[in-house]
Amino acid sequence: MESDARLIAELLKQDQNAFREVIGRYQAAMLSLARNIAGSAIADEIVQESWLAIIKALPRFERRSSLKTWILRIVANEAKTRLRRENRYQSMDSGDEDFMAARFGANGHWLTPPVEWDPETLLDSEDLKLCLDKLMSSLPGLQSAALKLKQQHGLASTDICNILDVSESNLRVLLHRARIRLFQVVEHFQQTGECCE
Amino acid sequence: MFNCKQLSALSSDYLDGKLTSRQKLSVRFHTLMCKYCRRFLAQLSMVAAFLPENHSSDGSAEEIESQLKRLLSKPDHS
Ligand SMILES: [Zn+2]
Repeated sequence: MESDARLIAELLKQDQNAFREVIGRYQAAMLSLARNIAGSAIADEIVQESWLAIIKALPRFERRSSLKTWILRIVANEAKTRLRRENRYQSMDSGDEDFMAARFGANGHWLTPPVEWDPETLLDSEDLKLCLDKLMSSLPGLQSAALKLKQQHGLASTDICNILDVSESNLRVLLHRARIRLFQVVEHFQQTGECCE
Repeated sequence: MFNCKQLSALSSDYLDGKLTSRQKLSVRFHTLMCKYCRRFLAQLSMVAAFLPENHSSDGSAEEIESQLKRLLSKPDHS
């Protein structure tokens, strides 16, 4: 946070090295977030729009969050605005489908229990990575963004809620649905060696 | 006490430490006796590890320069 303050001061003075530093630190995370919300085709455009928005809003940055959280929130906003314009936006997927429901009997016990996995083989499989990549880009709404921010950036829930502008309980639903879908794809791959569908 | 279906609905919250201590106890008690739920929780906690890393452009010097150029050439529309 202290280095944030220095960096912001230098950015406000249009210091080129400060821009270099901030690009180096956050560009990859910005691109990944834009991709997860809006798809790779327009991710780069969203990042460019975001930079303009960031530069414009910087004098008004209130430091209630870290610079990173603030920047990623702007990216998420740009991505959502873009999706809304194209009528593709859904913050929570409407279907309250319970993907797991069919696997339990009327008494709530497993009807189709989870099969055993061979983690070593799964971890090494390039095919599985492709399946999961495909899945991540097809998950509805903010599911994949939420999961990425949690698992790969290791951000705290409060930061993720801030970035995606969702409530704590919505975030829990997003994470659960994303993990269940991943679980299904991995299990299916374990059984068949192929992606779902 | 949860049954397996109820436990699966709370599985993600359990992994993220979002359950009350009473719920947590029920989950632990259930998994002591139920190997399928034990397996399910272990697998669910593992799934994110299979995700491909985004080894995307982690800011090579070149990419940083080209992004900087794009930024500085943009007209400031304020
Ligand atoms: Zn069980």
